[in-house]
Amino acid sequence: MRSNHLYILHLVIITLACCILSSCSDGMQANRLYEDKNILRIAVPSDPRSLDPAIAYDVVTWPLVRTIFHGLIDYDDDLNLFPWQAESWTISDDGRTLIFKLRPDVRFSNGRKVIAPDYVYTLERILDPTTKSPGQGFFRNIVGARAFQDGMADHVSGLKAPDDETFIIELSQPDLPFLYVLAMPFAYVVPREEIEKEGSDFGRYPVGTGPFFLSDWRRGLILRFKRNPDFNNPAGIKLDEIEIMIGGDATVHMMMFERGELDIASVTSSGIPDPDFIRVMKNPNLRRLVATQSLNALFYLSMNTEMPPFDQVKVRKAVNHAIDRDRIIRLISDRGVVANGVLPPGMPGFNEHLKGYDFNPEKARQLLLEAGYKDGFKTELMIVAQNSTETKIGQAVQQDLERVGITLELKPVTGATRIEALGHRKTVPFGTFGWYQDYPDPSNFLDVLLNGRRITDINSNNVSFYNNEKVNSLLEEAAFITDQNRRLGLYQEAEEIIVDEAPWVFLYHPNMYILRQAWLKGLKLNPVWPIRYEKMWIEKD
Amino acid sequence: MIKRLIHRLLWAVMILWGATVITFIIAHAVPADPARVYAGANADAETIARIRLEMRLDDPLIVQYTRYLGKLIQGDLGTSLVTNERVLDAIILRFPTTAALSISAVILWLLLSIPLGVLTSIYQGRFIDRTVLFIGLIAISLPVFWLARMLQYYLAYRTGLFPVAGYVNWTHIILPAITLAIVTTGYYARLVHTNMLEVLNQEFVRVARAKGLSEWRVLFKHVLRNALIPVVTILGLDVAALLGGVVFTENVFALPGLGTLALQSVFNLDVPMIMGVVLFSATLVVCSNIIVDFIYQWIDPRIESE
Repeated sequence: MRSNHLYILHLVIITLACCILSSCSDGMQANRLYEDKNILRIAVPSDPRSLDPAIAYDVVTWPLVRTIFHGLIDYDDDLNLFPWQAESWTISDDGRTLIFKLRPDVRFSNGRKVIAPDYVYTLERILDPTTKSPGQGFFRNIVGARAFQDGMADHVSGLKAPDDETFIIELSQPDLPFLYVLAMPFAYVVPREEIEKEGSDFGRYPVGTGPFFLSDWRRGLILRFKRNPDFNNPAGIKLDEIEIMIGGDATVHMMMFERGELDIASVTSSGIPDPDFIRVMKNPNLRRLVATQSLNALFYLSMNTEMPPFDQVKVRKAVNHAIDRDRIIRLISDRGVVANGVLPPGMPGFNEHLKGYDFNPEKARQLLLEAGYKDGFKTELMIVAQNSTETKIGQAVQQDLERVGITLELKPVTGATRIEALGHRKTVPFGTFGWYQDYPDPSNFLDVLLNGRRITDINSNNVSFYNNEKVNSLLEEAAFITDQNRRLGLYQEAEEIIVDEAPWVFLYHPNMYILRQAWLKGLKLNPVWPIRYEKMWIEKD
Repeated sequence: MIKRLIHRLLWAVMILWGATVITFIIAHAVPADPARVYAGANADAETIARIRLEMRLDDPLIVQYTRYLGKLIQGDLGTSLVTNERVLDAIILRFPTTAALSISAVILWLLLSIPLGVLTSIYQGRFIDRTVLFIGLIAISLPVFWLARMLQYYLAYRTGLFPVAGYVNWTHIILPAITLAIVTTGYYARLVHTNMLEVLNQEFVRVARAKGLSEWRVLFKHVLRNALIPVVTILGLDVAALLGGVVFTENVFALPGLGTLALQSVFNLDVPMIMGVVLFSATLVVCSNIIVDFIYQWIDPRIESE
């Protein structure tokens, strides 16, 4: 009798559960829940660290900083630089002096006109050690920068404002990519009086010259930007507001997007969360809402060239031949293209003739034999534990290397530990690493990541500790010449040597995917600024 | 009474000091550099070194700890290395959300578990008892992050009965509170059940019945009150732990509480913020222990005499 009751109760529970689930629709019909205004609604996983352009340095915060601040120059849709708040610029014949004429009609959102001394202050502030700007390294080529940083001078002697509309930068060495540096958000102009008023809280109460101003920031909850009435090109801005929910991971944001609560599913570099990617791409209703952009980025496996067995070129080549990159691309659902070298296809100087390494386990075994590793060897690959893509890739690499006799153990650690350990000399033999450009110039990959003269004992960005004198000389020669074609030629020559010596396993260049609602207009992706909120607007068909 | 309170408070200070030492050591034992995390993956070695210097991370650990303790004694929990937010302000800002979630969840699970515990003790071994035990066991075994995601998926995303995530108004608290209540109700129902059975067998209950008191009065005035004593102890600790941050639930539902703050601080290696949240949670647990001790005496005056 009792078991009958239990049976009936369970039946009732299961029936109720089925009723609830069957009442749900299979395909979510996204409807814009907020019909009221021309408001863009997005979500970010956590509070921005700061909206101070000197401090912010990540792919989620930079597009937000851009809505509040502007700089001297920016990129057009074809990645050409154009004067933004500068009216024009000239570069001296020796490439060491840059002269900017400023537009007279630019104002901060507090109403004050922008003048050249504001730019002197902005760049000096980045170099001031007390600002703790992560971008200070980009500006050390300015004359007097190091003396200022070391406390030997009160001002940076290479920054001058002879009048309110002329801004001069003097460089220690000719530096063609410095224009790209000036287009980075670090160099967006800030008002001195507001910083003196707010102190280190300026990132919480930012005042800039951009199309929007920050109207509300409740930490952990919401960020709200409103249209800046003092913006010098009001006709170019169509959104009234940008409202940003703070919190939740990519899966939560995807659910909210499908319920019509967000206009973009995810503004992080992954774009669409892994578990949803295949479903989205197979669903025609969602697929048509996807925009794709190849990123100027590279995901690779770094082999420490100072540690055996990776100190041998033949071993490094063997590992490259042993890994099936096409399979890895399939594993990541085709969200990238195979890398045959260092530079991504969208980067000036990309060499389409580089062949890279084909998948050839037989050749890999032969190279290991020649290197004296007939029976293979044992090593470990450091990966980021929280990153499911890295785990998948690590397992695929493990299987591929097993076939040629290399026993690979995966060592999952946190992202912070990985980057710290890889940058320490003679610490990690083999690890995953990714690099996203700071600006579209080959030096930002080759010089930063592979110049042996930049190796440091700790926090080295050259995590394979690759050091080839010929490559170093080519990179340094390229850094200081102003003829772009010759520069690119030198970078290509250096890249060919690097690929031949294989300090990395060149895996893939990732794509970015943006899933946005049909009513969101004006989304135009480019490799430098995949998301530009200020160009978007809401329009129901 | 006062002597006992002073004694407990002195111990509390020692425990909290111990918590700061342990957290400080653990936070610095992590093989990662907060300056590197702050500077970002693309920063060069010189930039990281300069930021380390500005953050005073190059000072010996003992100097850093002494500096921290000195400020702590003056009531200053420090400033976030990452957001520049004052730690105390960050905790005060996020505590109401965690408190709202915790209190809602506690009310919900007590409203469910006490009647269920009483009912199952009255009908011990019967159909209702076995069913509650069966469902309770399943609920206790559910990982909270999985349950939260499932409820979010079915009750918010698919049916739209609740908001998916975020914190705009009280409706955003319901589903997270239900999540916490589900995993805890079974346990508390069992706790009440066991204690009720234990008390029901005591002599004073037989005396009460012999005196002719109604069964209702016996159960609720005499038995339940005594059965709740151990429940109060555990509830006190559980509430304190919840108030210290409901990490998984808050994160799944994107609630801006202490749990979310703690997790973000750990990912950012923001040592002052980690220390602040841990110290705050530890203070809650220690205080709740003291309060529970005194409530205990109020419920059962025999305890003080013992």
